[in-house]
Amino acid sequence: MRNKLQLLGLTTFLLAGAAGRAQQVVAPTPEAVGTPRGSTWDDYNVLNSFETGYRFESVGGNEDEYRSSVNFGNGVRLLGGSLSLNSKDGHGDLFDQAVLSVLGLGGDPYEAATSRIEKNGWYQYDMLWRQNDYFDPGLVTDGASGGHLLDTTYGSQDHDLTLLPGSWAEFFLGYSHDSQTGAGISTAPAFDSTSVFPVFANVRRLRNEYHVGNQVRVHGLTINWTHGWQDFKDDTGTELNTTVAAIPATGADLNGFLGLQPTHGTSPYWRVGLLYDRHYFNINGRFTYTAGQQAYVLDETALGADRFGAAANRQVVSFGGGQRPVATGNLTVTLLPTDHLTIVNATSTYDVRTEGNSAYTQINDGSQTADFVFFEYLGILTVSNQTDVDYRARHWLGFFGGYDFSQRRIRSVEEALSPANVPTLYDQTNRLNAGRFGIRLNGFKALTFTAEGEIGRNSLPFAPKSDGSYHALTGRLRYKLRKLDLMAWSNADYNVNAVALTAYSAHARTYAASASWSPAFWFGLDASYSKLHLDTIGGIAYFVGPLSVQGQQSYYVSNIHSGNLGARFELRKLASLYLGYSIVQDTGDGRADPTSTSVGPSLPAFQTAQTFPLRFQSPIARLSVRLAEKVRLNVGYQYYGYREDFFRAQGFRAQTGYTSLLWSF
Amino acid sequence: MFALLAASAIVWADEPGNGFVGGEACKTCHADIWFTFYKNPHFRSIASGKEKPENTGCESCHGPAKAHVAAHGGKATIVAFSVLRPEAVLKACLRCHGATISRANIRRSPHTQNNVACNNCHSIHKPQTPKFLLARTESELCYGCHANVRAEFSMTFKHRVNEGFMTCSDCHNPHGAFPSTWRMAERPRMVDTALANEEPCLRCHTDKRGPFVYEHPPVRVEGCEVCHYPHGSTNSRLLRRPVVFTMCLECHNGAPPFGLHGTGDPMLSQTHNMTDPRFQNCTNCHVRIHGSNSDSLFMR
Repeated sequence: MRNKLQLLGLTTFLLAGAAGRAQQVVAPTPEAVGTPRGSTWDDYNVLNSFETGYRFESVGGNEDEYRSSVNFGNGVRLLGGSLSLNSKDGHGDLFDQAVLSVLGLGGDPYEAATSRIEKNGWYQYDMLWRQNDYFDPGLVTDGASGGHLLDTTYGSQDHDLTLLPGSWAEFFLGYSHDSQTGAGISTAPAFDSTSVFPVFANVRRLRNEYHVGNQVRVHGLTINWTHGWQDFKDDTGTELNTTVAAIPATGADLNGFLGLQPTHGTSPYWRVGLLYDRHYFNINGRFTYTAGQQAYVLDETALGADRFGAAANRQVVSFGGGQRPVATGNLTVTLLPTDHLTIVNATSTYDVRTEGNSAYTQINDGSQTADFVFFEYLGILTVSNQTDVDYRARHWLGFFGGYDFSQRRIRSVEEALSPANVPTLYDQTNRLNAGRFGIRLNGFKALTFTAEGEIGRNSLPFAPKSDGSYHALTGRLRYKLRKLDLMAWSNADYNVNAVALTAYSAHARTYAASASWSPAFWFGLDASYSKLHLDTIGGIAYFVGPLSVQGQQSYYVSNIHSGNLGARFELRKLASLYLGYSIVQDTGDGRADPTSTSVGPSLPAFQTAQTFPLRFQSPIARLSVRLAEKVRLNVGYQYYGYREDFFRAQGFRAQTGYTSLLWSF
Repeated sequence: MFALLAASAIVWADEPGNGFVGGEACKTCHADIWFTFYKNPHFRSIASGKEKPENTGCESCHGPAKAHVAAHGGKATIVAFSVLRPEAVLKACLRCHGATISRANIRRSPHTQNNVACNNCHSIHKPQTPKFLLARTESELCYGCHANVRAEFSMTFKHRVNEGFMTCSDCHNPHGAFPSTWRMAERPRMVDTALANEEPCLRCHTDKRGPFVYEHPPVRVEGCEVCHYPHGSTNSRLLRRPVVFTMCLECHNGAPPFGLHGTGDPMLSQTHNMTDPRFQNCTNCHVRIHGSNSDSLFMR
């Protein structure tokens, strides 16, 4: 028995190491500390570990780019922690299991906590809390400056309580809360159609959701219903108390600006699920109805000078609201006539009607204009039916296939600018027929192979980039042993939309391979490589000065190579060392400078947008030393290097790292 | 041979009371599992003391152990999940876990079609996570087969999965999802849905949800993916193109029959001189590109 307990401990240790093999961030430390058996408190078994340390960073180059893509900072952190209490006999006083885990508390940009408390048969409570420092410098990746910036904190929390879990009648209560607050820079148009000004924004968005529900199981039939209310409000306002010039400079100035646009909405909803499961068949369905509505007021005042230098001011008042009732339904029937055959038919409907009304008034110096929009409508009705067949001819051979049919009707009403105008109704129907077929081989115990193809024809794609005439081929080969796992995967997805005036085509080819090898408890190796190729070409039309340019094509190519390598070494259970490296490199289409090709429009702006070579790499090293049975000392270093080949000013080099104590008590 | 025998043994549920010996007999040899089993959610079947033998403890999954005990062990005398075929594993687990709406589509899910069974991701006796009994961290499990997705989450701009802040199941239902309601319902698969069967993006990005008086139609019709890569991108804001205006122009070219009117997505007006840098960053003016309440051109 002792040997088996030791084996359990060793296995847990190895698995913990395995979890860290592809860890992409240096901290928290994935290594386990302490005994997996835990300690006894009252009638509970207690397992816990907490990692506290100092995280540091030093950034050179474009710090905005760093903050938007990595964003780790300096300071003391509770890098990670976990706590679990388990009742030994399953009859605890208040709970039988309590689990808590935390991540990055104390200032990391990605903080999270999750917990579960439950008492068998009585209740189960789940909580998830997350907070993210979100920074968007409004980068435009060709090197030009963007007009927008967001430096906000995004927080979310979910609370779910289940009463009488596992019984024939369960009851649910839930609450979710999301918020986004912080500073931003936005842009506002004023005075004429060509003057746009930067303005400060105070971002304040809030969402609350409450729901109650119940699930009943009677004679094999499960009925699950939920009724909820989601409230949303956006009180973000924009303001300017100093003079700024238009971007780009047009001669216009904005001396003062106040833009308030409170938007409040609510979405009460019902959701019903049905499930009936028997040996030879299964029927399930889900039906929802959501009655969303949103009301808003816009009050905008701008004072300044127009592009000719004349004093200008403008006030815009607008108010109204939007409603969007949504009804959806899904019904799936599964037949299992034999152990070798599964036939599934799924029907789904989606009916959404977006309606709105808005009264719009604009007052200009010297003249007054008033526009009204009384009605807007966008309705989408989609009905789809999918049939899948899975036939397992032999234990080593299987076939699967399916046929999908979807019909989507889109109706819209627009441009009712005044009560006298008759709104125009637009109506279109689109049908998709798609088929899939695949084969599955398990020739040898460790080897599996799957190949699948899909082809689809869309009668009226909604946008040039939509799936039109497409086909996809996927293959997967896997060889998996206890200590070795090899996988190769390939996918080609081609889509063509060609009409009389323009054509759009996209070729996406992805190749991936990975290997995981753990020959001994003290060593593990993990590697993966992917190549993601994309080339697209699409017809465009634009203006150069007053001249209309048509019949030209937008061209975009990316060839992204991505590699991950990780090696883990265990030194007599006293220390573990992890070395890793990841790289993402877009080699573009091979050109040496952004305008050195003659494909597509000759305008430099179009040429520079055709390909975007860059490199993002991150070597990592982490050492974890066992100081005592329940204490480990960890140090780690991770470098981030980012370089855009054509726009060097956006590159950065960041040295990050940490030192910490991992403590189990 | 093991697989055939084990598969035949999975029918124990049809023969209640036949050969069940109780979990106490198991601890003699499987002490490492038995003495920590109270931490396992399946322990509640033992703790309740009310379940039938075929639904209690070890034998609820591994079947009657009488022959196994008599033979002093062996995988041929009991339901050993390590040698079960995927469909048999699924069948065994769904005995208890089948009556859950979130797993309603598991039989038609791509995972099932590709022989990914429950124990490919879940480890009942050696889990890495106390919740959901996952064999490894969630992202590691998914990356094991989806190396291309791992590559996407390694890119410069991405959702924070590698950082541990998000998980794959925040957006996906690995047990199979109902058909999506955006695009034409055919793809993507296994994507979970938010409030009104909408894209899961709107769970967090609630300000994009609307309803707006003026919807940007492709957002509602085609979904967020028409402009964004959901996992990761080398372009800021997870955009499909490094430069905004090319992405807009590829649709707004006026070519029928695309767009709401069937006459093509509206072309830019003549004021948009593309040699002027101000018109190369469309969202500088069209700030509410996901939808606006007060401006049909999304400018406020």
